Amino acid sequence: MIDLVSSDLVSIRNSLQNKEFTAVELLNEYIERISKSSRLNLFNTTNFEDALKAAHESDQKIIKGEARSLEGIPIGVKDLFCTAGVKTTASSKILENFVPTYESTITQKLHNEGMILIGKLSNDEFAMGSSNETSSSGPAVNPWKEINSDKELVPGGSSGGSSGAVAASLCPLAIATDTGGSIRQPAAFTGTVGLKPTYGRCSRWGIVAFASSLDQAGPITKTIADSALALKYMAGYDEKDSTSADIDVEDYEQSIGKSIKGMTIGVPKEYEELDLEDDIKQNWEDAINWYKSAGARIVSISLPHSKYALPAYYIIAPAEASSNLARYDGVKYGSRIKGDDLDDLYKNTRGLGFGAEVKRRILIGTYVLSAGYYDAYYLKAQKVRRLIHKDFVEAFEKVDAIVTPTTPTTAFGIGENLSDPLKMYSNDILTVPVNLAGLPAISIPSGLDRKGLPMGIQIVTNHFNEGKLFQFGSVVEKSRSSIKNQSEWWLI
Amino acid sequence: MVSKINNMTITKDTILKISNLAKISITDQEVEKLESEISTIISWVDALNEVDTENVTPMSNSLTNTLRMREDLVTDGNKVSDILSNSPADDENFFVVPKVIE
Repeated sequence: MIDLVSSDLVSIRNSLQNKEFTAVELLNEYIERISKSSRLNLFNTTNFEDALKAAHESDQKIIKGEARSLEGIPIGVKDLFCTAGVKTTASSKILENFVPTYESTITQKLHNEGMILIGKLSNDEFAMGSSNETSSSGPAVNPWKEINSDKELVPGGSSGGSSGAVAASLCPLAIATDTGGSIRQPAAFTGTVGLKPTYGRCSRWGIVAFASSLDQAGPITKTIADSALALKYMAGYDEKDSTSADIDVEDYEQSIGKSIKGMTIGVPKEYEELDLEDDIKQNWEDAINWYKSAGARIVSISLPHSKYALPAYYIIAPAEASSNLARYDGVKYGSRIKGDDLDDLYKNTRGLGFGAEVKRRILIGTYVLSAGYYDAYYLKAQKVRRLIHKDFVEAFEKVDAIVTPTTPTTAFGIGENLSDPLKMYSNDILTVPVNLAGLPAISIPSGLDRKGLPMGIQIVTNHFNEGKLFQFGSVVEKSRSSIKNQSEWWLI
Repeated sequence: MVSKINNMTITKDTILKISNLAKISITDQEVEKLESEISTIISWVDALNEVDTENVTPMSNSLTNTLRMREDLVTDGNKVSDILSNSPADDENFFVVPKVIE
């Protein structure tokens, strides 16, 4: 029996290459564990049969000495990436039967290295949410619980299926997307490492689009070394994505554990005034002290427009979404609800196919783009976006990295924030500015709060400086206290 | 310039108008809920009016380079069955919709 709980991506890769177990043995262990974890509701679709075939082929390659870099390792993929021949629903009713005939660039790149798709992971419908409660397949559940409590918690969102699956050791790597915090916030809620690369670093081709100027793919893993390994094979230029950056991919693994002595860390003074939970504030102070001990210089910086990031985001993202989601019309693919005429068909299809959160965002987007409001809202938000970007550009003239908490709170209960959109949106107050500025950022597990729930520290660096994220991230990973989940209550 | 220029109230009619523009049918119950939720959100984003954006160029994405051009060449195609494979209704390589012209 393979100890999946104490395994990570790097250790699994090494064990497979050293023939300590076979790809088929590994896959069967994961399948068994996934089957025992159905209470968490993390998978929309499993791909066990095809995965077994692929694992057999991987074993042949390993025996013949033809193993590729990630040969035989199972991956979970957020159900927003198109996977050829495997249902891709975006956790929406409107795509419940959609089977792509093509493969997203990111998943194709990982398959080319020998990775095996084990299943498609739940998310908030069309990636719109911070709790993974708006999925058409129902809420995903966090493997973590408060000490002495039976309350089920959200795994964060929108990539809650991905964060939950890695935290529950159902796959060593999940591929997800982050538009306003959808990788980092779920990572913080589940004690996992979540990376949002620079906008343009990873191809968006074949990913169901939400807000195209903000969307970016990234990995969720257990460790920083795993994150660096995954990014190495995800990053790179793709001519099929017009915003893909033609910039060399660094050897990210070399940055891990590299000294940060003499480097400078910025602490944004505006964030200190935010409504953060006491334990999160304390944890942030602890992290700053870890950096001091590691030889970094700490300076206070100002991001004066950061308080406008969330309102600007909730104009820009819905505007882009209303445009992107116009394609779901019941004509070319997806579900169709009949109507008396074409207009009726569109309205019925979209009225019944989209959930409440998605409808609300499309309507807000339609409103801010409509005649008479475009300048007052959409253009205004884009101008504010420029100022937010400028704040960061100026900060990075003085500092190597910015260190903040990832979220204002730890994981909350299922249903607790659903009725108050603004409260739900405030989850992303620390992550959204990064997307507006197109910067890379990572959330690293940094300890447990008094309730026994994981907290995360966010590190932000300048554009295309992912290597430094891993370098600075290593300090948190080394200095924090243990974040092991003590109970596997969900196993049946 | 610090002023509240938007300050438009969202009414039931606004919701009906934008849901028509977005081609989304909504029930009477939904109209009421959306009216209150969207009003709250729009008055919250009105905070942006506090920001002086005089002479600021709007930013549509964070990349500094302009979008790439490529040769106008066919690189893909002949995938009719792929394209139709998820269609809710099709006939002789056409998507089928209700009659549009009488």
